[in-house]
Amino acid sequence: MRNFKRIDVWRWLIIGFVGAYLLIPVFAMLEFSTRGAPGERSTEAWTAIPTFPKLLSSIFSSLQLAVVVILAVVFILVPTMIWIHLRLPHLRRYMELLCLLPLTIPAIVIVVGIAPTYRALYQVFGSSPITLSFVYFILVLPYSYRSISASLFSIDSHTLSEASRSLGASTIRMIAGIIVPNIKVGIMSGAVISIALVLGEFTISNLLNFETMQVVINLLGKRDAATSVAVSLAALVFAFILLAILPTTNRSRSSKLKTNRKVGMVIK
Amino acid sequence: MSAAIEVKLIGLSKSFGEVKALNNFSLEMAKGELVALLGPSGCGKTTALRALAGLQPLDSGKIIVHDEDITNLPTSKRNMGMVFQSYSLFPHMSALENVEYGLKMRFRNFQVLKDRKNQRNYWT
Repeated sequence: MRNFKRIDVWRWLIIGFVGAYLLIPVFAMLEFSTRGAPGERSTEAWTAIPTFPKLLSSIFSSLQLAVVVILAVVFILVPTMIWIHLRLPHLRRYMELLCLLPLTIPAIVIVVGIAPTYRALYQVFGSSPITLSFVYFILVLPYSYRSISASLFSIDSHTLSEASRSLGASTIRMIAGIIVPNIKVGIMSGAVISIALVLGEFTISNLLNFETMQVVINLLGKRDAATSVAVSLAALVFAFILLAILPTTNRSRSSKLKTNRKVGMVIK
Repeated sequence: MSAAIEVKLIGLSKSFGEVKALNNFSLEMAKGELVALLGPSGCGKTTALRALAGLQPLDSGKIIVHDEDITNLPTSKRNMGMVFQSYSLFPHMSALENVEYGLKMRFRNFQVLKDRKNQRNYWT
């Protein structure tokens, strides 16, 4: 009994310490961005956000980039991974190596390597920041790959795919109707991490001279520090909300599975 | 007079590396005939059934159903059911959806889908 109490105290101590470590900077940002005249609070920095047209357009660009990258993950990476998992398992380790490679290459090296490609892309697609989605897709590969791969290994994908194919499903219907719904949690967590990474990326977009949210926040920080902190905090809160949504979808799935099990028992 | 042969497995062979799961396996089944494959573990019963269902590509041999060579026909187009050894319900679907799945895949205008409410009452 005493042991349990001791574990409980330690648990709360660790939670408190980690919580304080993560939340104090957030509260400091909130405090700084709402600082007015001495002893007063002001929302001036927050209300000033819409008055910087460049900032709004950069936020819009970053959100567009996040959407394009997620679409690329869902429509390119997910089907490829499922195909390799089911049909070409001997290629799994090469795929893993390829997807984890961006983790080991520093951003500056990626920029130096990719700059000539971007010069060519500039001729074809113009200077829209959306072209950054090519390099961002590569950057999010390790994180998306890990979460999708874990989901694929957690289900009996071979049996499920064979069962659906023998019931008359084509490959596309098997992937979309059977495998994807069962690895939804992995895809979702990969997508959330991708959004967080795209919204927070600075080095590559800055070096390639694209005006994404972080680049503009950095520029703004030199002129109006309070507003730049307010935008950073808003981006952080946005990422927190996304991370909070994820367990909710997970819970709804598991409650559905519980219902299935109950129905299964009735049939037996 | 014997019934017409409906399913013919002719000289099926399949190896997994060094192991020969099927070695020139042939079988004929007539319409309405009940056939049981008996044998020790690892003798190739499952491989033969999986090949018939289209889930196992063969090294050589032919599968004829209704006088049609279906050896290279995709699984989804064979109209052949297989009950799996392992438990294989689709975990994201309800019991009813699991039952309906095959019908939805085979019959695009399946009547049950129109009267889904009645079907649900029937099943529960």
